[in-house]
Amino acid sequence: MILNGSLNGNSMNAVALKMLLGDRAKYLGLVFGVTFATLLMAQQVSIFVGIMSRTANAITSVREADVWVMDPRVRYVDEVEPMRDVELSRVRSVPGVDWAVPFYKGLSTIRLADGLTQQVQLIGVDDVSLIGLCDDMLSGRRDAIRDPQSAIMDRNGFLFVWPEGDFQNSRTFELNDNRLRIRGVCNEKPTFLTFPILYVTYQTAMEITPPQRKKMPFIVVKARDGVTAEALATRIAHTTGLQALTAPQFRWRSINYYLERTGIPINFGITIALGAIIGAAITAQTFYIFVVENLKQFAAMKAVGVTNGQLLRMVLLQASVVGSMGYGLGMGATALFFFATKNQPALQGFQLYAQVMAGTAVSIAIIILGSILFSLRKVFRLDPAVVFRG
Amino acid sequence: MVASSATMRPMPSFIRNSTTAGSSKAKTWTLKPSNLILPALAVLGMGFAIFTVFFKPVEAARIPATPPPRSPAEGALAAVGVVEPRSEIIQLGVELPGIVRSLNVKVGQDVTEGEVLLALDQRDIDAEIARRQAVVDSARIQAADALALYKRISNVDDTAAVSAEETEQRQYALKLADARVKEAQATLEAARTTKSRLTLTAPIPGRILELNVRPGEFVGSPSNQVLISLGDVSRLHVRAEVDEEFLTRLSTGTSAYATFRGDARKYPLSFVRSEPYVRPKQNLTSASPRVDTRVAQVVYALPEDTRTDFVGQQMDVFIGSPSEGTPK
Repeated sequence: MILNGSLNGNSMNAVALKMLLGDRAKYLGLVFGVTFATLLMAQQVSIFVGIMSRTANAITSVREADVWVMDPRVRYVDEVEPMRDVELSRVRSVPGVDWAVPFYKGLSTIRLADGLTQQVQLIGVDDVSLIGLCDDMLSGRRDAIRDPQSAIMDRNGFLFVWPEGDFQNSRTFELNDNRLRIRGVCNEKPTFLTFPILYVTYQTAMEITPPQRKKMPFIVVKARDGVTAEALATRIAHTTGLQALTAPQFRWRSINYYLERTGIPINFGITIALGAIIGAAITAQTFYIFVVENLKQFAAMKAVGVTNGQLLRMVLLQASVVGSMGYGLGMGATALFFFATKNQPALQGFQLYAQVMAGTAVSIAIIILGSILFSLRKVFRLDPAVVFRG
Repeated sequence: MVASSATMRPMPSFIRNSTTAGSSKAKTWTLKPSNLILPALAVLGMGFAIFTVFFKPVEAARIPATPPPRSPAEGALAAVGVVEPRSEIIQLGVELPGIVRSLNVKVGQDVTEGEVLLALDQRDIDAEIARRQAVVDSARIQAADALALYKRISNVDDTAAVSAEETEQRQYALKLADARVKEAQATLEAARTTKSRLTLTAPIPGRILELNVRPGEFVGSPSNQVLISLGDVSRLHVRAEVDEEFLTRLSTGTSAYATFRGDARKYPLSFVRSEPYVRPKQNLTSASPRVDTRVAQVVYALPEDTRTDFVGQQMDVFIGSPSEGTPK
């Protein structure tokens, strides 16, 4: 009767925890299996998301703009199909446009003082408003870009070209036989192309790039108050016959292009799947062995009248303890990884996303529940008489 | 029933422990401190992860440091305009080639109508004028002589003393001498005109906007560059180039605004005229010439108090749509 009295929820939970903590090695194995699976999934997915969002960083960097206007043939941000200059006036004349400025983006080659060449992403920002110019200046002033023969470079690019750093020391180089000087260094999210980002004014970009009949790649537009970006983009596209996309639409368009045209998603998909499978295998196997090795105890409990439902609750408790601890540790390790590497050029801008956390939690829960189902079948079919044998 | 027989056989140790401990509740739930390390780490890790996810620095939408040109009215036509003087820009040239001897004006100077701006070398023509003046003088002397000769016999009626033929001869000699005087005077006048053509004067009152000539330089006719640009800047106009696609939306009565680049102040414009000829785009928004469309030019007057001393400055012009202002 003593036992009957003690077969309430609390003591069963205590028994479950005692079983779990009793074998330190298995307990650690279980927790670290889950930790490993969590870390692998969360980190790989985050890096994948980070790399794919880099393909659109050139768009998100222009934070002032609501709508991007471009030639209808443009499929992603690194593809340039120039437009006529007059399109700027046409876009400005569309109702609902607060302002519209040209934005140059293209690839160029600079020649350094030592004769080496380096490909750069040339960005031409509107001379007046400097829209699209990064504002996290590490040295120099943003205004300096308006001076003749002046340019601003991003930090990663600067360190790539001049590894010794020393941002204050203004470097001179050539671009298409035009002398330019670095007048400032700024911190900007790196783009997928990894080439240094060189900012000049739009007029400078027009002057130093080879002559072409049409040269304006993009127009960035701000919507008037009360006009949604989507409605404005539709109206601009309808009125001018150009392609007008809101910043998020253009961003996704660029990301989707890389998703479709490169092997990156497949590669990462395989890595993430392998992580999930290995993590699941470790967790499920350890859990299965844990249950199987404790079969005697479960049998004894059945023998003293513990129902299958109570056993299920015990195992679920053990699983949720292991799962939440492994998940917490794995997430902590992932966050720590991104925190520690946030200034590395290769990993700059990569971060843990809430969606990744939620998705990983669901995956881990599915893995653990799956392994429980697998091992509990044995417990439920267990004959209590086992405890009396051998 | 099974449970009641608990005392009959040995129980697995963990159940025995828990049942014996069941009597004192404090002991049931004792965890060793070492067992708390891992959960504590997990809670810390989770907390850190949540912190990095939900407390990341927010990227605020950036507001441009200098405002870009904004359209003042819904659906206003946008055009690029260039400031010009009321008179438009007059590019003065010289009528004759020569060396510049004196330059009387400076860039930015206001001049009155007829004021001498520059003079070419005139020694040659001065000598010519002196020579022709001498010719006039000698012709006059000859005319005076012819007159005296004629007068001496004109009152003599005696045909025996003076023949009619003699009188006639002297009369014609006088007429010829008078005609020679006139001829010499005309050539002198021609030389004086040539001298005046070697001096450049201001055709209108205005301001010297551009000066590309210095004393001692040779200037040809026609000159291969603009020597002096003159314009009446008492009131400034802005010449807006409107894309041909917008011409149907353009009407003369609508209000228009213009802004200077980098200056948010809006200047209301008053319509002056529109050029009837649609020409290739020339006032380019960028440096290298790339003609890409045809434009209609519309001229607007800037307000009197426009704060600029500069001509040729680019302005962003917005012309209100025809529907603007009509009650809805």
